[in-house]
This record gives sequence, C-alpha cells and structure tokens, in this order.
Amino acid sequence: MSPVAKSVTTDAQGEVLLKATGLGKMFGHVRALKDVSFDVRKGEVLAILGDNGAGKSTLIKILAGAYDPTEGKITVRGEDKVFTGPSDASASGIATVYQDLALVDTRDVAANLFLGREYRRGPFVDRRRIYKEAEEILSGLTMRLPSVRVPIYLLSGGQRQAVAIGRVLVGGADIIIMDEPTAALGVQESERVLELVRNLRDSGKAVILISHNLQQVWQTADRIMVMHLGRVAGIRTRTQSTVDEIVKLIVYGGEADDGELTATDASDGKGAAG
Amino acid sequence: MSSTKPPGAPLPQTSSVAPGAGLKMRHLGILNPRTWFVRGPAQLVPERAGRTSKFDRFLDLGIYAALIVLFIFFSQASPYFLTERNLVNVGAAVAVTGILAAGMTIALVAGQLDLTVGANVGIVSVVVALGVSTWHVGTAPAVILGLLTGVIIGVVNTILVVKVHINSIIATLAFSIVLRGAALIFTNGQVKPLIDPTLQNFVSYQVLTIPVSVLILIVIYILGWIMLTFTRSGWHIYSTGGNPSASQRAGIKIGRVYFGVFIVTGVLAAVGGVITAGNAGSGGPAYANGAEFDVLTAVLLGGIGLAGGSGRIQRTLAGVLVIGILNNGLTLLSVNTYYQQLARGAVFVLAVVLAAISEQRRSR
Repeated sequence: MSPVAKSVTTDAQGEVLLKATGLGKMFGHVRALKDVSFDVRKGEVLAILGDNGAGKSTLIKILAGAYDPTEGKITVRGEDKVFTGPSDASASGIATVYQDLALVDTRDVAANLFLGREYRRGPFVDRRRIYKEAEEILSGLTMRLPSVRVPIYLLSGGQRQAVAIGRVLVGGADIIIMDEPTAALGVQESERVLELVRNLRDSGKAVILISHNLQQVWQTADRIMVMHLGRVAGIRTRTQSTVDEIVKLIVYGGEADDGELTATDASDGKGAAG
Repeated sequence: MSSTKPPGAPLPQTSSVAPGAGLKMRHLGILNPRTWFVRGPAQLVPERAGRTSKFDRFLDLGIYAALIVLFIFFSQASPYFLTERNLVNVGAAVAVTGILAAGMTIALVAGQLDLTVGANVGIVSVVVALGVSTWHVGTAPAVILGLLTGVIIGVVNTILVVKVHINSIIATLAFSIVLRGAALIFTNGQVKPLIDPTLQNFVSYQVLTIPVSVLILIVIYILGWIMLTFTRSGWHIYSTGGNPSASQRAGIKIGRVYFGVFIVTGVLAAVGGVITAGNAGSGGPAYANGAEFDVLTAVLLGGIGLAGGSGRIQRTLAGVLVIGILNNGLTLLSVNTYYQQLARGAVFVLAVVLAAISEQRRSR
C-alpha cells in the first residue's frame, strides 16, 4: 500500500494498465462481441455488468488469453499484445480468478498458493520458504484463515476465494479479473470477499470484477461497464451515476449505437493521464 | 501450534512457530506422535466444525491400529509367528506386492489406475527367464531387458491414456490381457526355468537376515516417500490427481505427470517381475495372476483415495503388511485355504468400503 496507491481513488487517475479497443468475437456466424472498448487503470475496480448472454464471459476469456478476438486489440501498459494462450496473458500480468477457483481441494493452502510455481532448493521443494511466504501473503489479506496447512476441502467458500486471490498475488499479477467471486457465497462471506477486492485496489492493482449483483458492484466498483447483447451499453463512473441508470443500461442497452459508444470512449479517454 | 488458537482469533502477522520448525516430525504424518492427541482441523475452522470428526480420525489411524492388533493377535495365537524366520518369510512374501503397491499408490495419487502391474510381473519374469535360459545374454542384461519391458509398458499405458484419452482402468485392463497373451506366446504356455542360479541367489541373499528383496522394498518406499513429499514432481502428482484442470491452468504439464507416473508403475512392476523370477527360479506367463487386486486391497486399506490427490505411501506399506501378516497368520493357524480366500475377499471389500466412506466424507 504505497502512498501513491492511496491517492488513487474513484477518480481513476492512475496509469492505464489494460486497454481494449474495438474487440469483437465471432463464433462461426454468431456474433458474441462487437466493438468492445474500455480501459482499466492502476488502483481501480472496473465492474462489468450485464444480463446472461451479454458477452461478459466471452470478453473475460479473451482478456485471459483463452479466446482469440476476431477483431480489435488489447494493449497492456501501452504495449499491443496478442495472446496465443492463457500463459501469454499471465506473462503480461493478467490473472483470472475463475468461478471454480481452480484450487486443489486435497492440498493445503500453501501448496495451492504456490501451485505450479513451487520454490525449489536443490532437488527438493523449498517448503520452508513456501510456508513462510504463504503466511505472509495471507496475513496481508483481510480474510481470516486458520492456517496455511489446512487442506482446501476444510475451508469455507469465502476462504477458498481468498486463497484463489492469494494465488494471483503470488503470481505477481497487477491486472486481476474476477469472475463472479461472490456467486456461491452467503452475505457475510460476500462482504469479506468484496473487502478483499477493495484491498487489492488500494494496493494498486487493477481489478476487473464480473458480477450479476448490482448492489455489490455499487459498494465496490469505481467504474461500471454495462454490456448488452455483446456490446458496451455504457461505461459510468459510479459516483456520477445512479443505480437506476445502470439498471436501465442492463435491461434496455441504452446508448448501444456506435456513435454514442465512441462518445463514451472519448469522455473516458480524457480521464486517463496515461 | 496453531491448533491451540481459539476459534475466531485473527490470523497473526507471523505464526508463533517458525514455519520450518519441527519440519521432520511433521512429515511423518500420522506417525508423528504429537498429532495423536491434538484435535484435528475441525477446531481451527469454526465454519466447518465437525467435518473432521472422531470417525475421520479413526479412519486415519485405522490401518496402523489394524496392523498392531493383528501383530499382537497372531503373536499370541501362534508360537511360530514371532520367530525371526517367520518374520523374514512375511517380508519376502510381501516384497513383490509391496513394490507393486508403491507404484499403484503413486498412480492413484495422480488420479490414474494401472491394472497392468500383474501382467507386467508375468511378462517380465518371462523376459528375464528367456534372457538367461534361451538367449543366454547373462543375468544382468536379462534383468535390464526385463526393466526395459516395464518402461515400454509404461509408455504404451501413457499413449492409451494421455494421447488416445481412454480411461486408465479400461486401457490398462485391456492392455494387461494383451501382455498375458504375449507372455503365453513367448513361452508356449510353459514355465521357463532359469538355468543360471545367479538371480535366485541374489534375491534371497540376506543382509543381516534381511533378504535383498525386502531391502529393495524398503529402499523403494523411502524413495517414494521422498519423491511424493519433498520434490516438485511429487507435489505436481498430488495436485494433478486432486484437480487436473486447475493444475493445467497453473502451468503444470499434466500429460508429462501421467507419463512419469506410468513409467514409474511400469518399472516398479518390472522390478517385482525380476524378484518374482528370482524367487521362483523361473519365468511364467501366469505369474502374479490377479496380483493387481491384492495390490489394490493394500493400497485402499492404506486409505489412498480412489479419486486422486490424496494418500500417503507409508500408509500403503502398512496396508501391505496387514495383508501379509493376515495371510501368514492364517496359514500358521492352519486355517483352511478356502477360508483364507474368503478372508482375502472380505478384506478387499472392507478396503473398498473404507475408501468409499472416506471419499464421501472428503467431498463436500
């Protein structure tokens, strides 16, 4: 939590970490995404809202490197990127916390945090370092975990979410995509997970939060991008918008013609100090 | 230890115990006496209290308790049981099953089953016997040929499971029938004697009364334990078995993990085949017929989950010893062999039931 990160708040003045321009995706003749443009800045939470079939999952799969976009480009820290696979995306500092969390239930917390990047010392796994760093990472999160030696299957949904987020931090990612992190959680646990999301933002990460839950988005997001039928229906700064307006965008799509979209882009572009 | 923390206490910045402290004790798992009287993780995780119940802990300790109970029972019931000679017999009798079970454990932890191990022993014993007696290549080259056969079996299993995407139970079962057929063809259905006693002498050679076959068994379990617990490959085997897709997304090459696992089970079974040839003084196409079920019994008794991603190899060794002691003890007590067969079947059923119960309790 550097002092720089502290000053970055809802005005989204941070450096643009990820920028998507005119992304489109066709599956055969079916158009899943059209002309999706947005950016995410350091120290902000961008929420992506939309009904089922609005194109949210297609979009995050493109950002995570799982799908090739049919058109448009992705720019990470000012550099154009072509992802040929998820490893390219993670090499660019983009990490995705999937809905299924991708944890190994039978292994303990530390093993999951360092899954696939276990430190080694000589021919062996450096357990001492792994357990030590695992404790450090988890003590930095607001979610309480009993111990880094507890297997995942004994943890609650929120604690599992925390481990999945911790894993992203181990990987050193600074652009974090979270797919419906609270979908399977109770009220209290959801609250704690959202707290985690805000902490990530405050520590200078860019968070893309995909959600169905407008109320939770309202508590957490700095900006809200609404998708409708594969297009961007609008991008709003939370402090300058109302729940009503967002709901209308979700349901009716609002300003989904190309002219308006460009206007939204332009107004957002002004905010970017870059 | 962190287990004494009251529920709800915030996670301290750093644990009061240095993470590396007590490293050696912790790796003993359930053998670590300090864990015997400490309550399980149920206390640590108030939200999920009761998930690790007394019953779970009983299941955990069960195999060691069974081992001790059987040992005490037979040592009281038969005056011959505790003799040095008999215990050496038990060791020699379980050596091959134990070695196969070590491989099966690693395969199961990775979430795969290798049912070729019995046929592997059969064909390797044949290859060794042919090498010594028909091709006259000498004992050591014949043994190497036998081990190479194990490697080839592992490669074929990998191709069937990883490249052709056949379920490992079906693939290895089918391939084992092929192997038995090949062994029958090589020997014309006959048992092939070893004309050179070198291998026999080597396998039964005793170092401080411990036969070489048992020493090999011990070395394999120590190496297996080190590999699974302390190496990155071992960690990847656990995670691949626990959640293949998550492991893959985390950058682990799971095809390579499966390849390594099938090679290890293939070679370990081949080692079993070499020892079998040495013990019998011959190679036979029907040797170790049905051994995969004894092996599975031992592994499941040891609590190695069928679903993959869990289990400890030292528990498999306990399962192997339980079966070995049971067989030996029943024979010493002159129990009718038909009833012994029944007892073996019953233990297999019990092992499967225990495995199913602990599986259900582990899944949410």
